[in-house]
Amino acid sequence: MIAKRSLFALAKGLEGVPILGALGGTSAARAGLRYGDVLLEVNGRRTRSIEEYIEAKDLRQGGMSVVVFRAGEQIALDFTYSGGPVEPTSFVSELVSMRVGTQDEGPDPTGTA
Amino acid sequence: MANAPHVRRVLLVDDEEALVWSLASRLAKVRPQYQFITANDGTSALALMQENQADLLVADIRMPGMSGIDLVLAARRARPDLPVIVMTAFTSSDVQRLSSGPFTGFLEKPFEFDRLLELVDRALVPPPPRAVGFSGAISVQTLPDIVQLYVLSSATGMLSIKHHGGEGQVYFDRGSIRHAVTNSAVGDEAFYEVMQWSGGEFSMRAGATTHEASIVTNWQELLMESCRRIDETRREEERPSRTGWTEAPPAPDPLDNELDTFFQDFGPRSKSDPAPQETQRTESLEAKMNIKDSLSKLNQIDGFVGAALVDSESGMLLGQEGGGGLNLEVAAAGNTEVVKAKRKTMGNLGLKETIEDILITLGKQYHLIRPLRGRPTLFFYVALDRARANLAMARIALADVEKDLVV
Repeated sequence: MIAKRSLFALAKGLEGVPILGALGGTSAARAGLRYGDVLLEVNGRRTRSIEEYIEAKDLRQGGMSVVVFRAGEQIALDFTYSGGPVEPTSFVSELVSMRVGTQDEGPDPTGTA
Repeated sequence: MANAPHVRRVLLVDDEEALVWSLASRLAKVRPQYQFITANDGTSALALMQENQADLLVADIRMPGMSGIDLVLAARRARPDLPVIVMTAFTSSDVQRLSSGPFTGFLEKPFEFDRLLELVDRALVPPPPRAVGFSGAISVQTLPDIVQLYVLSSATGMLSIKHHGGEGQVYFDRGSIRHAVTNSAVGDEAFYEVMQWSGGEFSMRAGATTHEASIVTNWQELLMESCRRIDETRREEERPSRTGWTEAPPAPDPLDNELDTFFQDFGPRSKSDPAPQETQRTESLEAKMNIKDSLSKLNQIDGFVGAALVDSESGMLLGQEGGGGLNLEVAAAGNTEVVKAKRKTMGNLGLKETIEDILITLGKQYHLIRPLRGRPTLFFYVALDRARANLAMARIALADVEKDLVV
């Protein structure tokens, strides 16, 4: 598994947004997004930063199409949000167990890796 | 400073050039014995302070670049006893973390000139020698503000509070809360009772001690629990009617208006709005506080371990700022119970409002969660080392970062 530091370096090189995890049970996890992916496009627009991600996300309601870089190739995925946004509270335990505070170790991406 | 008389200098700092000039001119007319100098940003102010030893700093909180909070903290690092008056458009809770030092005055914008003048006079007039205490005249909405002031200033003494429902005393020993007593309770419960009183008078008798030690709970936990109880009480009331302490007026919460404006400005884009052109988008991004910058700024919080930005709609964990390689103490089972309890509490209170922030306390760490107001599906997640963190300050810092962030 790629270390966080390497993931950030990779994302910087690709001018994309590193995905640090896809929380279990969410649309992103079901679509196959996972720790280590680098987000290159959302809804057809390049995403070089989180701000661009947010703006691109607004282009479509109810779901998104993404292009991510994974293991040397670009992968296109499309998914819809299910059940609306999840309350932050439901993520807490998972975020804790993903060890957000660590920098060098890759977290266990909720079993999706 | 005490050896030779000199003209006492007041440094006024505000990014609104006309305002700060106007204030300095008016002050100079009515207080010709003082010298008033001005600056329009924090960096210039710090440079001026190094050149001209200021006797009082009057600073706006919200300024581009170095904020007023950062300015005051930096100034007090160089001179811990510097009297300060802070001007803010927000409630005094925003600037609680500045409440250490010999004199910290708060001015909520808009303010009357006479109020500023009064604070300047009080700040520059030294207290009488061998004063045994002082009476409260700081405008605060709740007593936890005052308690935090004494804790952060490592005070020893007795805080005496008079309320129409009774009297209470809280004893501090070098910044620790040692003892609390009211007519009906002692210890933690007495402390909570006092903190919930919604108006009255307080005074601090510096140096007063007691042999009683009815409180062993950490001051941060005491204040958090107090604030929680205050929030509960406030929500139970049909209409908030806090009269405030000493001179504090029962003003409506300005944050409500701020929130309304915020949502109007940054609400979801309607489908009829055209997508921004690339050039426009680039310009708008330059004007914003960058999310990466926000995460980096969180890194400055005392005890910072790590921070992340989560999109709860898609479920992606995006931005991240790592600390010193510390591993979070995994306590998943315990956290699940905490989350359940939080949900249950919100359900019992019938809360329909959005979550401002969520605190999780682990054995060695605090975890704070704060949804973005403009984008409630996104939230910051911050982990802090309990041994080094000041929870109240961290919450304020996180709120500041979130407030400054435009997405």
